Amino acid sequence: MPSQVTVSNGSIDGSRPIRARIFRFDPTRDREPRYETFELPYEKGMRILCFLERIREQGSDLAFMSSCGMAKCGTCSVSMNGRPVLSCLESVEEDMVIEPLAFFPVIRDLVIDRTGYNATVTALKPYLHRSEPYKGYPEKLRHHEMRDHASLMECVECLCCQSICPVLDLERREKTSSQTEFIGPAPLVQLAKLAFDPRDSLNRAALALRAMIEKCVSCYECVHVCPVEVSILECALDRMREKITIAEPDSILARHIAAFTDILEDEGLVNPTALILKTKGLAALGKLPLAIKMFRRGKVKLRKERIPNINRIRRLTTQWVRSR
Amino acid sequence: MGEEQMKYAYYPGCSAKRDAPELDNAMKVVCAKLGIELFELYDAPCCGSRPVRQGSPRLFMLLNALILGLAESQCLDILTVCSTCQLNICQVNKRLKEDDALLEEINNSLSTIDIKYERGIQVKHFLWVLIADMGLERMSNMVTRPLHGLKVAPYYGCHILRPKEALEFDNPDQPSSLEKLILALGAEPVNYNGRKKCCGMHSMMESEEIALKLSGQNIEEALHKGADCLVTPCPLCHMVLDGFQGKAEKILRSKFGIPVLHLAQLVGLAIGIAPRDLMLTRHMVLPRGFQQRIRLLH
Repeated sequence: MPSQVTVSNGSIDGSRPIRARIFRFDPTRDREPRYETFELPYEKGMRILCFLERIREQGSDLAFMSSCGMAKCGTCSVSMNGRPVLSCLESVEEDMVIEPLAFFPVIRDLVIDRTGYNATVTALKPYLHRSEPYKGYPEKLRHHEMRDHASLMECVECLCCQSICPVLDLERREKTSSQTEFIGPAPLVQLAKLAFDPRDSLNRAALALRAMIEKCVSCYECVHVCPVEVSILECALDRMREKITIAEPDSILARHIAAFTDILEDEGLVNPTALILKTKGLAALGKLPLAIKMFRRGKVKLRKERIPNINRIRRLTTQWVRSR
Repeated sequence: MGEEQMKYAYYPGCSAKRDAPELDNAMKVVCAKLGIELFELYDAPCCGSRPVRQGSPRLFMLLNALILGLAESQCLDILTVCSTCQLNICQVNKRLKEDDALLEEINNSLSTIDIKYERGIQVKHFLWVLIADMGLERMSNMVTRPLHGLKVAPYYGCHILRPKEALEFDNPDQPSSLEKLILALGAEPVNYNGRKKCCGMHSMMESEEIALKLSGQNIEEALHKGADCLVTPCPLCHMVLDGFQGKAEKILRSKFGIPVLHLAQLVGLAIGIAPRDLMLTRHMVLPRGFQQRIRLLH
């Protein structure tokens, strides 16, 4: 259960009303968006969804989405003071700006168009590809076999992570169409969920590469905003990259990881010059002018330097190779 | 905390020992002047950064447990100077402290190299040590050359802020430690959104363009807010912001030319260490005009 469920509005004493500027836009009618201000009395434990429902009860035609009201359906996500949140989980603040999730097309007011996301997930073949025919119920599955898959089942596809990802933001701003090269954290979680199902036989690593997983910058923005606390980076994206090292060893991502590990085993610390040469091969020559400038500033070390007791590291890496 | 207790197992990591030797040097001269005693972990390996973490989670655990065990054998908390090292070692420390079975399994593996970790130490970034262990008041008292009039853009980057559960120091939404320190040094912190955004370092190998654009837009915003220089607690961020600034200028068709300082260098300037002793000229963007201003502060 996410910790936010127990969050109370401790900082609000209720002496002042709750004030919210809410994004209003109907693309079929309005030329441009506007903000409408609402003020309502504070109610103990008030969440954003409750605030929005009260507005509608008072006769407003404000459009927003919600269904379960308990962080399971993922439909009620909005942006509150610039932060993507689930409105059913997030406590109100005394002064709020409530907007639709950033970067998604708006259908009306706070309702976003999820069609692009749905199409992206559909292209990832989000169903089991069995290597053997289904043998019928009950299907024996061990707990540990499903552990990685199960950790991702908490994802409610609220798309908060999609709206905060800096790479998606960058690519969206540069593209004229809504299609981006990097598919973003939310579809990759869905892909990883299937990849970690022991019954699935599709090469999901290849799909992850097609989805440009290597563009993820490991910034933890997605992890930070996830309202249901899915460990998106470590349990989904990092583990997909691990699969890529085995299933797609010639990819640049796998070569980078292999080169890094090799240098670490050989020297103990990792020299970036050696890393670039080993990962990129002849393509590294393109970086020669910058490398020369860096060399002059003492930032490029050509000589191999090993840490003392390097054999300790080698013994650890040998253990790891054996355990694989 | 008293001065006699300011002793740490110093973990410089790969960057400070390979491509950012000026950081390692600045740490040593600055800490000596601040009365912080550093005991370098010469035989500690790389923390695995992102590649080992992604490619081999078990090896990642072993490497960081080894680093922790080496520091514990000296009965010292670890002091880091890189945000990614900080996150990795800190996160493994937390997991080992919470999971007895995992600790036993890891210690079984470490026993083959005669290392054991018994969960007795903490992992602290240099920034945290200055704020929490040394204290801002004592820090201000050490300032002999207040950086008055200097507008410094704090650049946190990611791994010193997120994930919050592992780091538990600054508020990732509203971080303030760098700003407090900049004020204590007499300079003026620049408020801009890019301070807690990503530099793209960890996708450099696979997608350099992303990193150049992300870092470039953060620099652009800091400059727009009037920054004279940037300061970062992470040498990986420094590599992109400084080393690749020229390339970012080309890709964004802009001109930046803004010096980027390691945290230890900014502190060093304020406590009276000469710029040449802080190796400011090792940077790719030379702080020419900036250095003149520092001299004028005398």
